[in-house]
Amino acid sequence: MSATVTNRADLRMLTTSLVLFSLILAVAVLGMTIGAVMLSIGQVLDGLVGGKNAFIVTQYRAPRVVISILAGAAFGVAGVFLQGALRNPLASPDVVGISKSAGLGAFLAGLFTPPAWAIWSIPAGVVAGAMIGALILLSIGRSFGGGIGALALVGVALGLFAQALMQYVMVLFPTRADQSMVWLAGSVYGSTSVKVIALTIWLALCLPLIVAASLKLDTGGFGDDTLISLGISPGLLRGGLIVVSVLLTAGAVASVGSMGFLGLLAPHAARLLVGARARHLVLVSALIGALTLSAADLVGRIVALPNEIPAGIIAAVIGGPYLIFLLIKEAGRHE
Amino acid sequence: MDVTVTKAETQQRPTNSFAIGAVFLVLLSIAIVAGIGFGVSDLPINRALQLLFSPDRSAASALVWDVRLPRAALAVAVGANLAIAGVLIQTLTRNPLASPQTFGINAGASLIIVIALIAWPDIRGAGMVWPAFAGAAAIGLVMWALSASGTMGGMELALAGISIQLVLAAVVQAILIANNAAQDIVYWLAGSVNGAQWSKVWIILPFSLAGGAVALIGARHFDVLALDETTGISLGQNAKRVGGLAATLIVILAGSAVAVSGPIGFIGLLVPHIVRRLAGGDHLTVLALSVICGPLLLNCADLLGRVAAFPAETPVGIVTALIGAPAFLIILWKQRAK
Repeated sequence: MSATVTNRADLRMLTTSLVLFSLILAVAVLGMTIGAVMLSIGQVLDGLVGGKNAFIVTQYRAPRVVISILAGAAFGVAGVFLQGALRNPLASPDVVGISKSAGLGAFLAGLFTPPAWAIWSIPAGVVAGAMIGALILLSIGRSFGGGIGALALVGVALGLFAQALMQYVMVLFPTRADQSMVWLAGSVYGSTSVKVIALTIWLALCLPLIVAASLKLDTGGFGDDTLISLGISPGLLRGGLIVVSVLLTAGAVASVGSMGFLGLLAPHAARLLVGARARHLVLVSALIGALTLSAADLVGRIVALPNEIPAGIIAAVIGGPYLIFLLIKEAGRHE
Repeated sequence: MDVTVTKAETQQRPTNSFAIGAVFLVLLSIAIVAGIGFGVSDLPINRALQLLFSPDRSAASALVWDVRLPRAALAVAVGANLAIAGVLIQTLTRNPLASPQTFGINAGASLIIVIALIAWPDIRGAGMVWPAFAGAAAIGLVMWALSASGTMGGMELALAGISIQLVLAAVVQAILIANNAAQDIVYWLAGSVNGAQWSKVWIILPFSLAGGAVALIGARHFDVLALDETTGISLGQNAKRVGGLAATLIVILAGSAVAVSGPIGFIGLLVPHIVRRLAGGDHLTVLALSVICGPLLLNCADLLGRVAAFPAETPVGIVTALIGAPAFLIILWKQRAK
């Protein structure tokens, strides 16, 4: 009996993944064809193998499409782990301010190190910012008793503070602020193949950790007492999940900026589609994250032609109302 | 809450709150004078004061009278508006985390103003007040609907309000980008009293005076609103009517403030807490002191914004956000401790 149930869930995950995968593929194809120069699918394929439109396709559109898929997946998985670690459905790196602190770290690193160092100083700043943000969140959040709403509020305040600090630094150094403005809103504009390679390597390095975290994720749902009786250290387990989440967030923020609400949205949608078991949840969240970000970028490019609206803004417009909906639902459940 | 305790507290308060009010007033005067004396153009403070009382036709006199004085006056009006709106919204929702900013009221006003400015560019100025009221009222209704459902706690409501604020800010950004909007709209959005002119002061002043007066006259009724609903009803109070009055005042005060200076956060959140902590309970005291404390805080923040990145100016909205976020955490923490 239980075997058939599991099989059915597996089957469901398989079909869901296939549907999502084909949607991502469709969005990717559209993303390659639509732009200032409209291309047919044939022209895109031709460009990919070095044809007439090779420059637009390989230098401009392909990196953008690929990076939105990779970063979206990273945000989605980061959200799953953080929500699991904190057992809080409102916790995701973007809602609780970790993305914003990562952005602040990158911004400061870029500002205060010589331009020649930027290749490693900015990623270092992103990781440091994300880690410090998570530490502050957890240490402050703990003194609030760890209620679902309280932790999220602390995180939101943290994010607002990081953002105001960035704005202040921009006032201090206006000449170097222009480019950061777009990036801070979360945008895949100007993605290059170098960025794609960097993010791919980063995610590949994280992969063993992702697998390990996925295997432990289900136990994260247990209470601390249960974990101790099972011989698992709750601190180690939750800390580990948080670290993996922070690393994924840092990678994604370094390549596309702080995208709002993606890490919140993806795990919830995934849970709705395939249930809460980690081996289904992680992959489907990654796919939904990828789909959401690449679709947000596509919409942002089409909706206001000839201007372009950063994907992060589109994501916030979709994700924010979802957070409010979640709040209403969560509140109703506690009654 | 026990009514007798409140009464006992109020009896020993008058001298105390008068003293606090006097101290606030002195500090506010110092802040205003400092603001008039300090700026990018070098003007000795005694010369500035001299010009303040006997203006002449010099450029320095114009600087004092047409640049720095209207700026201080605007900060006074905006600060008072936001502070009163903050007191009323906290009373109305019985939520210490409520404020025109954290409940998305400021953001609602901003969104409709931006839409209106792009659709009809000539409404700049006094015409911005009406869309601000509409936007503030719309989000006020949304928040009222959320709180009236009764399932959300204070923290959830604040979180919902801040989420609304974030979403509306994203929509505003999208609109600005899609329309290649002018730089001055972007600057206004950061929240600032920079570039204030007397015309802006005249726009907000009628709303400040009328709103402030009504709030002070109605103060006794708001006291009852702060009690729980059954006590209010048993005291023969028409809680709904008083609530409606408070909501209207919030929309008018916060909306007109946003229309002239952009969304400035945290004044409306902080002032009620500071004042209540210093002078306690009844609304007449709290509102009267807020009218001084709000301008004091905003003038100081504006001054800080001029000093912090000198000679560049930090919009006051950024300064209040930097001070306000930690303060918000402290309020949250106190809330938790209760």
